[in-house]
Amino acid sequence: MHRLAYKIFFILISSQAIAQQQDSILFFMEGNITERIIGLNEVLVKPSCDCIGECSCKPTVKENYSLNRFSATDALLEKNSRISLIKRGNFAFEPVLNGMASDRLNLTIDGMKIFGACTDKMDPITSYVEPNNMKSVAVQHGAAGSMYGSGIGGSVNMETNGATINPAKKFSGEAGMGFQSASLGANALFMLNYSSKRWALMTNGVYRKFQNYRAGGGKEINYTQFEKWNGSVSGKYMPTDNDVLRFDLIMDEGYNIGYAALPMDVLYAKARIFGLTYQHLPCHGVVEKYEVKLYGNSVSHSMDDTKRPNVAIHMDMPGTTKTFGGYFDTQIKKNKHRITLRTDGYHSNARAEMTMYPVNEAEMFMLTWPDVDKLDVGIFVQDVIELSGKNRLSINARLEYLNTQVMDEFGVQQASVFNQDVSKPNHRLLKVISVSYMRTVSKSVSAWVTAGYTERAPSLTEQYGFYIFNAYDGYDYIGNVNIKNEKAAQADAGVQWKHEKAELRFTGFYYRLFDYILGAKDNTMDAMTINANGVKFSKNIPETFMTGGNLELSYSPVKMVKLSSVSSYTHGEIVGGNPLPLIAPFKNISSVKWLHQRGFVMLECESAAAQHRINPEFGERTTADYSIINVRAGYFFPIGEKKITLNAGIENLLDKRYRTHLTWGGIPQQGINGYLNISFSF
Amino acid sequence: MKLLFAGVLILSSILTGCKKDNDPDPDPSNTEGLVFVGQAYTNQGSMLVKLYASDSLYSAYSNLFIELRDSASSEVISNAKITLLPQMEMMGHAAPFENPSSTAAINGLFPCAVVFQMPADMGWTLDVTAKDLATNNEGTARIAFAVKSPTLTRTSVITALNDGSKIVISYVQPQEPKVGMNDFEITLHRKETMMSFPPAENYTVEIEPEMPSMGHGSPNNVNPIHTGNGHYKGQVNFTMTGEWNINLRIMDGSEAVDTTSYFVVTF
Repeated sequence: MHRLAYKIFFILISSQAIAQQQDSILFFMEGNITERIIGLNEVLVKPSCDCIGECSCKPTVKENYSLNRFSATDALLEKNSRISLIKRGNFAFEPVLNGMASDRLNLTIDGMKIFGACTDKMDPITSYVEPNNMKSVAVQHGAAGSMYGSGIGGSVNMETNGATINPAKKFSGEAGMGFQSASLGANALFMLNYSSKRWALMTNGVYRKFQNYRAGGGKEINYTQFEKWNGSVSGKYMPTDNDVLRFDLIMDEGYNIGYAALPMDVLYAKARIFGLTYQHLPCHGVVEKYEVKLYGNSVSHSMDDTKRPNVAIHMDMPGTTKTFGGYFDTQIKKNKHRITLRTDGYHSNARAEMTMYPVNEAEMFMLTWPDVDKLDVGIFVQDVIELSGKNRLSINARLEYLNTQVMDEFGVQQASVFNQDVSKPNHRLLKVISVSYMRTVSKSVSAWVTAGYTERAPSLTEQYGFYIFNAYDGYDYIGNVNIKNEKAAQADAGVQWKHEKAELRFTGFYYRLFDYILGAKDNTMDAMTINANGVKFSKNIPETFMTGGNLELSYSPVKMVKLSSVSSYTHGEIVGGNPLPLIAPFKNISSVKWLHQRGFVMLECESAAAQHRINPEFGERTTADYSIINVRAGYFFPIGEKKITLNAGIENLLDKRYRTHLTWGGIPQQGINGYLNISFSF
Repeated sequence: MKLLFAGVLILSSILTGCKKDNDPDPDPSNTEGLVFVGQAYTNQGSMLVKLYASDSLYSAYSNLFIELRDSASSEVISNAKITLLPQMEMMGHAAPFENPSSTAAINGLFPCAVVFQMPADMGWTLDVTAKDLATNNEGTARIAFAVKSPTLTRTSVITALNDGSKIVISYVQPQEPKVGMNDFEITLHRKETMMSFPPAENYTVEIEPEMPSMGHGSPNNVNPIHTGNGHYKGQVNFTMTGEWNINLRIMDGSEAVDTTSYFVVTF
């Protein structure tokens, strides 16, 4: 018992180390989603099942009800006030963290690198994992996220549930159905976990089918339909109390996905994700934990324009990525130091083709991603120093080597069109360092500040893309093999005040970016795509900056009522020039929630200011302000140990026609939408 | 002992092998990969003229190779002065041609070229007049052959916009187009009379590749410049496979000669 308590203590402490500078959206073991965003210097208590027997696997956070059990992953991410979403249809929204989209972020699933196979970013990897298979989402800002790779905006790691070893409960599971009115959408999900004394097996699945949705005012928005399923199998085995072996398999397939903002839709998007993890937790000595992970995944994606009217030339654009990699972690605790060492590496191949089929003429073929191999190895070190009970210092550093090589001679020839030599491998060395200082000022006030420097390599499209059409600005994008790495000097700070009944949290950031990578017009070039405006080449812009902040307030005048308000603002600008494109305007979500032992009713108001700070060169248009009102409720009926949960709500109650600034193609958002979900869990 | 015996055997086989290599080769000319077109004996001088081409003959700029042999000894003559005269007798006209540039054969062959302006099942002849520089034997051979029609037009005659003269424009390369940078080459010949087609050397040529179904072109093309003998060489870029038109614009100083000709390339 003593040993076990010691272990639990260590697990808590080590998660605390990880939790620093993390915003986390926690999900319950059974997939329940809290509405709570865990603060930066609060402890992220992982519902850790690294222990068995007396160790409880229930998380310590008070059990709550999800706002909508059937939300997609991206909608959950948006609950983090520093994340916004780029929307191109009604599916697979691209997350934007601190004003920066997926090229500048590390998006990982259980620390695994996965690369979308769509050259038009229609498949951010957030679309390949479902909330009912997710335990937590760890969001780290800027250089502080370098554990998962080098990026500018930060990192988002989605941690999956995996199987739960709980001998007290042999079978546990859930099954549910949900419906929603705006797009006649149907959702179904299930989860089943079987636990023996030392091993457990879990499987779960989600199926979603949505028709075109109706915007505010009732107009049907064509090409917003989709259909998908996601299934996963996970197993866990503990040969001893100190060893955990885990495997994961996730499969995700989407079909007939409409992209209203783009000239074509998606025929299919398929992902296969495999992971194998081994953890060893020695009870004595300075090393607390070893973890080895090996993984592999493949993503394939193909577009479809056959359902669109008046297509000048039909084309298909299949793309695939294949990645395998692994990492090795060591966690050491010595005196005041808690050190995490990670050695990681991956190999990835990406290839995307485009074949056009003109009438009565030869087929036209090109490689939009010219079969590029990426080899990447990195080392990461984190040292958290407990200066005193009230002061803590954390130092993160990462060094990464990236080698890219075009494997198809066809791609080499293609690049020669633009006098670019891509026949040789391209080497890059990326350096990231950040230092954080946290201080508990008083019983109710704590504050933290982070300073960091980070670099990122260009994305595949930025480096090797070949006539990749961007429907937002109507330009064909061409990569530049010799483009410089993007760099940023960053500062992040926050202060938190906590009172019995009220809580206030403010965070702010200022990122100065150097050699910012953006497409620049080349008027001497002809566009390839019919009706495109021209050609843009990847270019380094000497200096830009991104700044912003968010303010979170909550107040409970009485125990049963909770008022909360979250505001966020981001400002991005090219130094001495235009605003940076696709920056969300000021946004506020305020709610009043009435809580009951078995349920809640909630009134929510979401508002955004108009965005007039636009980048005309990027074809950006201004967006009007809007406010919408949502009503949500949840209730559960206990049946012994089992329970039936009901969720219902009406979103956009006033059927307002509006659009968010990051929505492409001027497409309005969903109008009034009623939803009803029912699930049975045991 | 056994080993020694084996060694002697191997050695002797090598020696006899070497001996064989030293035998005079009856056919030193390298015609591998070439298409045999036809052959004829010269009217005098006792020579056999064999005609090869790099491909079947089409109405196009055609690379030809002549092999010359002493008809008595069958030995290859590798030092000779050769002049051509291609004719389509029925129509009473000749064609643009290029005599071998050197009197020395390369691998036993004399490279030369003819622009066959039209296809014909028969009727095309090539008169080859050869003078063996070692023996001063001289004679002319006439070889007849068929010329096929290519799938894509590779030569055409235009009327110059500025002075009304007739100009033969012929496509030389790329013969095997690929995505990326390709050498581009055409020939221009002035049709002075039905029998005289001197190279047209003083023009400037601009090219503009275009995908007709897409309406776009490609960047970084290099306009052909005259490299001698009516040949204009530049570079053309193809950004993808498919059907391309290479639009031509031929200028004589500041005057336009032709602005509408183009060659189609499909791959």
